[in-house]
Amino acid sequence: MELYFLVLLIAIMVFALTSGFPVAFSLPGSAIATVAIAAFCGWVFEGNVDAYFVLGGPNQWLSAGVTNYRSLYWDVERDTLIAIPLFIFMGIMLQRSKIAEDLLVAMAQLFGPIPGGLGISVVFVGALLAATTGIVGATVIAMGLISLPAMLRNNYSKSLACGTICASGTLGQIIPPSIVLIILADQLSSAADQAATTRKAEYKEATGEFSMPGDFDVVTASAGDMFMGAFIPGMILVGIYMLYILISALIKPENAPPVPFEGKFDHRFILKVLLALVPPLALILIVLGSIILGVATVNQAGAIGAIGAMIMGSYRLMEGKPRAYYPAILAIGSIVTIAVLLKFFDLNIKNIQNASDAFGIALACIAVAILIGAIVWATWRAFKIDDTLRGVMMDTAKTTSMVFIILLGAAMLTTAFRGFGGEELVKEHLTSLPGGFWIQFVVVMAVIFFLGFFLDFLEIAVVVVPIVAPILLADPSANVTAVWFGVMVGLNIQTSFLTPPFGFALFYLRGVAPKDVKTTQIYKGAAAFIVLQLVGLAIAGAFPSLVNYLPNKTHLVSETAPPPSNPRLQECLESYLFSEYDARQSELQQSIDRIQTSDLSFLPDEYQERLNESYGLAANTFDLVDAVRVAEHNLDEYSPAYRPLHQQVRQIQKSMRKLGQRIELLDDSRQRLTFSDDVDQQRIDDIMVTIDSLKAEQQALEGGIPGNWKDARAEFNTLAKAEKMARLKYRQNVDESYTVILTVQEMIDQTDALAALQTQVEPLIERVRQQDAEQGLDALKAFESEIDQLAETHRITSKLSRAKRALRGNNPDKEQVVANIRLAAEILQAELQWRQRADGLAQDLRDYDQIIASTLGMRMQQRLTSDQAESIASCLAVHRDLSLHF
Amino acid sequence: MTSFNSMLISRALAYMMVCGVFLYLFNNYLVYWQDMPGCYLLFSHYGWFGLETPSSPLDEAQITQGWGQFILYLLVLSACVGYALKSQNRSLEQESVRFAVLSAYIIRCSFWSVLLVGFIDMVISFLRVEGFLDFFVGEWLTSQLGRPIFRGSFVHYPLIVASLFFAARFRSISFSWLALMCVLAEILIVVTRFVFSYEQAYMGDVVRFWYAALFLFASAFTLVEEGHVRVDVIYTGFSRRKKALFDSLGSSLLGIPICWVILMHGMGGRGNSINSPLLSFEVSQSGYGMYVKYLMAGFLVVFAVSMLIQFVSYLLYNIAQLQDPGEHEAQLSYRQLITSNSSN
Repeated sequence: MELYFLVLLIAIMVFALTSGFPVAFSLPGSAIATVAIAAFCGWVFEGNVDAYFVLGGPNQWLSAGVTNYRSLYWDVERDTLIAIPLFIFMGIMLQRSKIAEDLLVAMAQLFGPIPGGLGISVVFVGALLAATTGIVGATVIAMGLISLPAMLRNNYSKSLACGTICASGTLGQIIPPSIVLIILADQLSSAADQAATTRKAEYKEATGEFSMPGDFDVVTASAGDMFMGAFIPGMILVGIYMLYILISALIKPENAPPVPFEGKFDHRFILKVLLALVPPLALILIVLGSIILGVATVNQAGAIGAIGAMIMGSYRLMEGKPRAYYPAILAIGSIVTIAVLLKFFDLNIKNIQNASDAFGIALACIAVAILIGAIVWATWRAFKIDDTLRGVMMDTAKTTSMVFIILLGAAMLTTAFRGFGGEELVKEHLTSLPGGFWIQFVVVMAVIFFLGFFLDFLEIAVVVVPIVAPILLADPSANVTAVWFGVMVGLNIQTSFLTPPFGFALFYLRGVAPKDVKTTQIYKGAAAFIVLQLVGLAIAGAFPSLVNYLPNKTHLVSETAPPPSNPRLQECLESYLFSEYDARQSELQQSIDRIQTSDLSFLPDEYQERLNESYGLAANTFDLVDAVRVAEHNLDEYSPAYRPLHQQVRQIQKSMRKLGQRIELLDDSRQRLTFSDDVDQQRIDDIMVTIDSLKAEQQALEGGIPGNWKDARAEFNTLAKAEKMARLKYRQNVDESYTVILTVQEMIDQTDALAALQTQVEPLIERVRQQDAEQGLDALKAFESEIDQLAETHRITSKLSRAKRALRGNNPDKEQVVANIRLAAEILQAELQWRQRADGLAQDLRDYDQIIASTLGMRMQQRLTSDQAESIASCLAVHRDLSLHF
Repeated sequence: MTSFNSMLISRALAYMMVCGVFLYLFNNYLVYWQDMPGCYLLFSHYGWFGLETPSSPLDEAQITQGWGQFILYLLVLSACVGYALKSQNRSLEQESVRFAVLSAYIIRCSFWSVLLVGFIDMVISFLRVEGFLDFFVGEWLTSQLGRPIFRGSFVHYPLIVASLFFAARFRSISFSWLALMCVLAEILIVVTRFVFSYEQAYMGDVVRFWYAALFLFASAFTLVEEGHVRVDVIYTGFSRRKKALFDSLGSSLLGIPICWVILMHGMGGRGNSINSPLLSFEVSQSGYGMYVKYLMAGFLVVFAVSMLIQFVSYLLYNIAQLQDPGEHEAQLSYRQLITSNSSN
């Protein structure tokens, strides 16, 4: 029955949308209308308003919808969305202060003389503006007004010209910073959470083990990740566009003839080009750079962009007048000053230690005051001149509202969709498609592409993604990252701007294009670029590394990077290290041999033993690596033959589980019937019959499981376990081997500190004797904690603890205390003795450490080096099939 | 039905709708803040409309209060009909403008409240986190300002009342300034974080506070400005009357119900998602952030009420278009009608 209401929901939605009522209200409105109708029908026909909902009733679902409304801005988790108004502000500011226009004119003059040059300049500017605005309408209109007449005047083919402008205008959707990417990231992060839960449950069901290893987890996506993931594909798209225009200009020169520049290429022209090009480029570099380097959050970068745009606007609005550049110069000057101050002073305002700090902060305050003055000045100009600021604020408010109210509406719609069981339905149909993940993925992408003909990117991103993403991301057989999925969706819905009849870019261009450009010409031109976009989509799909590499790399070198011992990195780290071992085995072996000749005789027995053991373990590493390889090889050998069987059986088991669930549900209702007041025996019998037939079906399915399954699975498990054990053994081995080296080095390094503490022993004993127990205890505690900070001093501190214990209580035994302190001092003395002779050993160990730190000792380091991060990032960027473990 | 009658009916319904929403909010205050029973409990007390009687029946005083509330509804709603009858000489366009002006005033009030409360609360939070508050206001007030109820009742509420005045006085300043405020508040974080390594929860709170207000408050005006995106493949080809027909159907069947659902499900009970934070002066968990989270639940009320009134205004305009015979273009589009009448 719910199905009918699901259909009704979609029918009302389609009707409301096509009737032209604003999308933001059509989506939740149709959801509410359907819920109301379902509740009413339930009340009339079944006497129960909840009857036609899968779970719960109209009140719960609507309340959940309203709570969803609130959750859009309620918690810190969704704060990335704040970046949207900031980036919109930045884009509109650049547009309204005519910075974008200058750029377009200058680039056209610069690129004009090469074949297809005007077109290429449009793509170039489109990419640049895209990065700054991300607003399709504004970009397309600007280019349609400025570039289209120029291109037509110079006999460009109309369809090529129009296609170029439309397509370049949409680049803003995929080239960061882009609003689509932020919204996708917002949707994907909750989808990834859901997917992770599903995958964990699946793992538990399939293997019976309670917790899933961390490296099988679903990789989620933040807005910053999405920006970085989309960067390379975006650039590739720009390259494809340019190449297409160049090639078509070369094949058919009359389509895109070169346009000679009438002015002179003199220094004034160069200055003009630089002035138009450098500031926006610098702004983009700052905004994107600060995100990519992990310095600023996406929101902070957005604010920097908005303020930067306003300062740029402040001189453009005053163009030609004296003092036009003053605010910009002031701002840049103060920022440079602050940068210098940061270099020389510690400006942490909560941590002022001395006069120098205070002086630095005073200077910084002046610089900040000047910066604020410059910002206020720029704001004032924007406010005063042509009412620019008011217009920008109003457009920002309206655009932001348009975006967010759709987000709100979609939240209500998906709630109702869930209420009528739509999610389950989609899931069932999607997962029952033959051919696994890739077929599902292609189907989803085709649906999104198709919806793009009618809907805008926003609706697709907020309605379709939350429904399909959790299903696709959970699939362990492809194990795709959320970033990759998001970028693929982003690239796909970018086409929605170009697909008639409802393509935003086409609309806007139609609005500003001269009458003699036919609408079909615009469509025809756009069609070529749609194909190019699909090519770009295919490239990003075939090489996931293009998307995944940059976010991984940034993550691994950022300040919050995981340490090399992080479990998620291990497989990739090992594949990197193993090849290092191969390349450097003789060198490593030599240094292990060399360190073994170093004299240890003066060391206490314990450390002699431990060091010797460490050397032994180090030498043993290569054998363990071989063992890992053998285990891995065995597993790889076995897997291909085993895979079809695995898939077949898991499919059968899944169907059996589904039947099991149905049986359980039926059994529940049967029990409820038996306990009700008037027992309806007929219905109970019916249910029993159904249950029996379902059970029979289940058994038939079970019979379909091949006989060799159990053995085959056991064999796989053994091999997988062997591989895991081999790896664990290797890890344990290198860790143990390396820790000792670190400890002994640390101990020797701390010799002086220990010697300094030794001189405190006698004064301490004096104090304990002279003063009362409490004061003595304090002194003792202070001494103990100082000793405790040094490495390997537990034997000393244990004596001191004993001394402390003797000092506590009602009648402290001072002699006992002193005796214990003396014992501690003796040990300390012994320690000092060997340590003071260990200079030679220290040097040997240092040399040894230097050689093995990036190999055997890698897991114990704090951070990855840049080279390693690169190698591991590209290793992680490849999607790994995990299905056999599930 | 003659066009005269249908105009009367739509006018009366419009007034009932708008008065009804204010009455609903007032009753919500009476029920959940002043513990009056409200109509629902009254009806269930008598077992009307098939409602189950509550386990503890109402006492005498509550029954009187309940009747009072019920009669208030009846009185106000019938007054609406009376007013509609009396003011028949006004055109629907004029009514439409009237409601749009009302909606804009509500938004302006909310804007000023959010601006003032955000700013003052940020200053208080800053002083409190850094321990300067003692110095300015003394120990007693410092500890009081650490209590959400006190800060809400004696700082936020007076500011909200003051904003009623500001909204009437400064009519050209409204929600769009929040866009600039968001940018400035976020750049403040950037400067203090990168220069002085100083970042506190209240700084993020104020950005979130203003940004949420920005898009929720802007929605009504965005409707006026045709800023809410439409799938206009077919819509652009419609005649004026057909557009008016679909827009009035959309407003009444899709738009207005959304607003009511937000209000009824957000405020239908003590624990609902709007009422519960408002009642308890909910604050964010970071402790030393701003104390304005409960007001952010109220944003949804502002959104729903302003949208409701705007939809009523839009509906009246479109009904007027339907009444107007002939296929010629409208003299004034909705946007022109509202902007030309509300700016002077």
